[in-house]
Amino acid sequence: MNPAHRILESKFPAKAEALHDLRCQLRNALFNINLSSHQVDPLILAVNEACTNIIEHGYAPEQSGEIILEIFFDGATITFQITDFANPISNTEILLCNSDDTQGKGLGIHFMLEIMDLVTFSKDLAFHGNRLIMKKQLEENS
Amino acid sequence: MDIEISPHGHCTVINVSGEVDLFYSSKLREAIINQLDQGHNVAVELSKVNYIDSSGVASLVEGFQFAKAKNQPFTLVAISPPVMQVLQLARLDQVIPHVNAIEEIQA
Repeated sequence: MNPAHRILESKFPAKAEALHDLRCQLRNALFNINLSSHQVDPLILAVNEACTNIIEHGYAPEQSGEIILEIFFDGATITFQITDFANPISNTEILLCNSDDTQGKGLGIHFMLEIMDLVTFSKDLAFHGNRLIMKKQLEENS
Repeated sequence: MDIEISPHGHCTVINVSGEVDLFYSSKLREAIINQLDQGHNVAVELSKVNYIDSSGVASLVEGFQFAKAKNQPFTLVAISPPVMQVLQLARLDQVIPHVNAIEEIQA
């Protein structure tokens, strides 16, 4: 396995109107490591959902903030690291979001968990933010 | 995302194109609920939608549930492959009625 190198670092406002450009940057970065559309599309969906959750549930409506997306690739595994500086959210709160499924809400977390091999949340007191890490192992011959 | 609304026989077709994400999904929801609220049978045409996320799917689900509560027909039409993949991931492809072409609704 090769050492992981960063293939994208992007800072963008936590606003719904920023999601389109984020997806474009993400698509370009993943195509640059020779992934196919078949592989890229679900990864874009999962990252979009993570950022949507931060915009909807992380930052308060009147609160402006930033999201940082970093992607690392070691030749076999893609790691998506998403950092925000909204009020800390616990794993329990995140799981509760997922349980509200009466009108299709909570689907975002479901998509992330279905698409990725690993999804972890952490609070970092050093920089007063939340960090979501999602990992996807590339299948051989895909 | 663009939305065009037109009558077709006994139903109203909401023709959606482009990307349906958090920025646009509330507009789709409003369009669907507004037509259902007026008593129209609604068909949502999705052949030109190249991206949809959970908020877009939630708008479709809300329309489906609203219509079901009022016993009104609500159908998805010509679902594009990207939308179908997301509906399948949400396990909703067998829940919300859908047809391949608008003509099938009147058949």
